[in-house]
Amino acid sequence: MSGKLDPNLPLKRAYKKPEMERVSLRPDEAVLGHCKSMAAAGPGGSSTCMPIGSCFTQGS
Amino acid sequence: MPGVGVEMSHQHIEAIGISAVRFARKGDFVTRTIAGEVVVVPVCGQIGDLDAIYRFNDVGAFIWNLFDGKTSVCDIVQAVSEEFDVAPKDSERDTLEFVSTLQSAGIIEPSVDKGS
Amino acid sequence: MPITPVGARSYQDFSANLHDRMQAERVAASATIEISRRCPLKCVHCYNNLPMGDMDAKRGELTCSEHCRILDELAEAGCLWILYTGGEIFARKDFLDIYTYAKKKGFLITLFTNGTLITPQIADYLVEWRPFSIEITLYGHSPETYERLTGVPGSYNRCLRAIHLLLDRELPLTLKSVAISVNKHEVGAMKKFADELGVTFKFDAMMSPRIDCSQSPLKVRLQPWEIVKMDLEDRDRVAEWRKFAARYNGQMQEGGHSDELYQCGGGVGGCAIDPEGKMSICVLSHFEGYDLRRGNFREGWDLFLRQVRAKKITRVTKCTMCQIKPMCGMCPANGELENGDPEAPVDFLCHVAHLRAHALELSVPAHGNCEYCAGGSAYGVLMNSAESLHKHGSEQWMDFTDSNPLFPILNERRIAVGGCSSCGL
Repeated sequence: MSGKLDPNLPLKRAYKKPEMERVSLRPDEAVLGHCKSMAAAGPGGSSTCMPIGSCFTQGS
Repeated sequence: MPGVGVEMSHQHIEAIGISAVRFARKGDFVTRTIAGEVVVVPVCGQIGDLDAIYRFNDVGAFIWNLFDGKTSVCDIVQAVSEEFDVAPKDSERDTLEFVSTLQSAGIIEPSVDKGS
Repeated sequence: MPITPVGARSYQDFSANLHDRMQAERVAASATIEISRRCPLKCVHCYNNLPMGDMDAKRGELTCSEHCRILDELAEAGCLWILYTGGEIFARKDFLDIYTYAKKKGFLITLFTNGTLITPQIADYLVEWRPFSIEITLYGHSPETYERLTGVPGSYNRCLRAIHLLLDRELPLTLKSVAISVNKHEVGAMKKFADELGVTFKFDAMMSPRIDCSQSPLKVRLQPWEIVKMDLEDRDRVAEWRKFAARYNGQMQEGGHSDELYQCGGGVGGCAIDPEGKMSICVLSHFEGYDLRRGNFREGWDLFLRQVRAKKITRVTKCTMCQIKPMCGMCPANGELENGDPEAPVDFLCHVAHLRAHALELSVPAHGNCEYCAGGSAYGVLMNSAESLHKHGSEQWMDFTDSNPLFPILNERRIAVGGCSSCGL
């Protein structure tokens, strides 16, 4: 190894050990359930509306 | 032609060595890239197949895409070494471990080359 | 060969993390798609239903291939969650074709339905092409009440059948209801029914006017004291409100109020698409829409909705500095529907929020000229009611009556005037 980078060689991507995570689909963990939009999106932050209390629409 | 999805016995795998085995994704999955994350979503099947999604990191997603029933583990190791900044022996060790992990999770299965 | 155990992550954590990142980058994480406004039911409270045989409505609906094209564009834009709603989604014979296409694109799909059109064949199909979630609205516990609300004989049994079809197949079902004058006395029974089935139940009392400007849903909307009373009867609901208030109330800084008209996730984290392909900031907002038949999602999202979302307030109102605004539900869409003005405070929402806050003994700092705050015209009555609710609110009243001796002055039903002005009616 010369220790010098060959400028003609494409740069390789940074490596991390391959990982996989399994995420169980739990609609009961979607806390945003009062708005048509929130119900689909799940919890955390805001999908279309702010969480519980801010947007109330009739369900179907 | 490789027989995708055909069961391969453990004895056969031991005989040829896992590096020669080609793996295929089991079931019907769609690979999505959401906000830079690779998320694999099962589309249809039996209840046990449909109640979870899978997240891969960059290297994991790269390997996942190579489980096409045609690419051997050995070729995957090689591809990882060429694409990522990793020593071949580390690539081999980690890839083999990853293959075993996904196989035990039931989302990939070995395929067999009927012609060999 | 060593096997690393597969990492597990909770759905809550996965979703929260993804939403935060997508919202920060203004990537549309979710879309609400109204398949049709047609519905076999004639619910008295509904904000958008049309008859099944409404041919004009049917002709105007996006075709299956138009839906598929939009789904392609949504997938390319990085959208993950889709909510299908209506009207009634199964009013369209080709709904499962659209749904299957969406499944094959890798979306996580929630279905809102009244269940009355669900057959064993549909239920079997959903087993194989499993949705993320299905929510059925249960309009009453008894057939009499259910059908008084829906206006369709036999609909109760069809709904019950659907519930059992889905549960027998272990599909992910949630039950919910609306709480209005017609069925308020059965909300408790519906909750018990859901508990016995092992299914989550939730209800919503905040009815809004119809999108065609009719105020008819407001005739059956509960009065503020009734709505807050229903909260107080449920310890879990009270706990959730307190937790919510602790997290979100009181964030307005003196002199530092936001000048943004929209303070929700609309147009940032998601959008709505109506049956004719008009994309808007949310499912209630119809003042402005982008025609996806003429354009594409990317343009609508990047240009049109970005502009809508960036709108500023034109004036300071009592809502601007309100510290309990997160609990209120006031937003431009509600302002449009109730008052024809996205910035005009909705009296009903203000009343409920203040009453709820005081009944829960939450802090309500002064925030301008508000009739429900100290010095305001309705403050004294509100505080009397809040005190009564605080003392007696948790008592179970199975017999709701329209006129309650504890809250005589608040029995007056106030219906919004003005309506929306989108069609000049």
